[in-house]
Amino acid sequence: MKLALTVALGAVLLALATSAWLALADQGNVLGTPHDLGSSGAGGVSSCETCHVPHEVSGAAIWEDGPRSDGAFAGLTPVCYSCHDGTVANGSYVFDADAVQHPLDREAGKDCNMCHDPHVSDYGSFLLFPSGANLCQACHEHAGENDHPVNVNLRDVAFAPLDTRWDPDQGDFSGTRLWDATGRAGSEYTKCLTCHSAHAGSLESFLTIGPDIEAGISSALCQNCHRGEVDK
Amino acid sequence: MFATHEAHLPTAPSVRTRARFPAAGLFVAALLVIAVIIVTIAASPWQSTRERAAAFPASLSWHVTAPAHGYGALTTEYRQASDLVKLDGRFFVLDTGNSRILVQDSHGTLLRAIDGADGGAVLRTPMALATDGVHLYVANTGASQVLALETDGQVTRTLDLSSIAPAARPVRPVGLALAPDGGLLVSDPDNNRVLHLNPDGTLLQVLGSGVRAGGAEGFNAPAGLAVDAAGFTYVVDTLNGRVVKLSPAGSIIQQFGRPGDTAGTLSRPKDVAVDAAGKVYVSDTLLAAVQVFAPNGDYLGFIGRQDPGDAHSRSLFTAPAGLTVVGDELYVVDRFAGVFAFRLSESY
Repeated sequence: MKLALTVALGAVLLALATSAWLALADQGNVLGTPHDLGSSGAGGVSSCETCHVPHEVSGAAIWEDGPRSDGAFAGLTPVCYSCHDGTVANGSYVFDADAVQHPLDREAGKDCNMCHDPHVSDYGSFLLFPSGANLCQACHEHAGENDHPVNVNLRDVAFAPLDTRWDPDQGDFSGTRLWDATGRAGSEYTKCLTCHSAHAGSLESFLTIGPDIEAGISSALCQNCHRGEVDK
Repeated sequence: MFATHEAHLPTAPSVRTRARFPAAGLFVAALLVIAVIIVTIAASPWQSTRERAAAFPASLSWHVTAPAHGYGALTTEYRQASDLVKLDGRFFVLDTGNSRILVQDSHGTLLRAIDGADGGAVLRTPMALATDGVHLYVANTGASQVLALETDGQVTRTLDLSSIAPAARPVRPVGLALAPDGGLLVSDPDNNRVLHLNPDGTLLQVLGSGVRAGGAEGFNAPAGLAVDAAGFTYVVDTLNGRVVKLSPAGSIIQQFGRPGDTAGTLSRPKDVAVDAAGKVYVSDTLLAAVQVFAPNGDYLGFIGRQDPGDAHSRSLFTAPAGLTVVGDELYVVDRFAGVFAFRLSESY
């Protein structure tokens, strides 16, 4: 009996300590990142409290869990969108009912956090994967093997894309992006995200340049680089 | 010896019992404390919400919405609309995702679009609208500008905020209001400040410390702005979970709400409007509601649940943002669900 009580008490204390450690570890990861949004002074809020409210809260993750009219706007999406809606941060395209978004499977626990962890900024954009702009390969294992090549320096093959700007934050939803070798910053290499975007893409393949239907060009994306090589 | 033994027999168990009871008692007490904490955390917010839930009397007059499709099509379909003003009996709805303003009549019928065609204003993800009763003013967010427009969309003045008020980060205007002196108030969340511009567009005053601050020191990502009839300014202090009231001199003199997600608290406030009686309306994107406060800061109730008396009934809204009060009507621009018009009760 004494042993059982001791083990039970130890388990409770271990669980509490683990929870506290995880919370502190998450806080430590957030500090200094773009999600370090706490405010100073009397009446300020800590970075944790900008998303997790310790009091007056109803959601399981201690953030709002209010009833909404739109069933698609659910799970983690509302809390992410509540900042990434063009107010606190740019990026209202993270949930844009008018754009093609990478599918989620909330019933299987796959929400925004299938690619992002707001507490971890090791790989840029709070992504879970170190592969930069080739992050698709983290799940789509064979992407790039028998497809259009990635990691190609376009200067070596003398291609100069017409439109290398894709910036929905500025209202630009069309264009390809070139990256540095690591896929973290802009430069001259093709990566998965040169032609695709998980957010605000066109068609089901999340292409960054959709077909130009008015001009009858189905391969506008290809012609952005391969001008004259691709038939309409 | 016997007596001593006798004397020890009854005491020994009790000594052992006392030795056990502190450990077991501590464990039971710890469990009770943990249970009380869990029950309190799990139950109190709901109880609190139920206890303090109050429906502010407002009847839904009309609702214009349609799921958005395509880019630039001349329809009444919005793509993440964010604000609205009423001028000359017409509604000017900021269709942010399509970078245009839709002009609609009082029935919601589309009259035309201000989208850069015909020499009109070229907009880039604009986030806020205001009017002085003659002109439209647009926070042209993606271009770091404020534009003054004729109602036909022609630009009469362009204020380049990057040259007016340079800062550590590019100025990204997301809130806009006409100041009592005829100037403009512009919120700049990336620099945690509100800019007060003279009518000629020159910088008059910077409100807020410019760093993320709470209390009386400043703002944390300020967004929507409003000015009441007495000339006081209201600033949605989004990440501090509050709305602050500023004196004409720019000092914080009052606070509405506090962080939370229950009735009367603010989770992600976005915009604010003030009616003629001084009641303060605050949209909350995360709470999916509009909350109402008395001029003294008392919480009056919320708007937006299908059952106005039940805070847990389904919300009419998905992501409410822009607010405008015109007379006894409140207009709510939802980023996804369209424009809602409510008739406000005069008896409250």
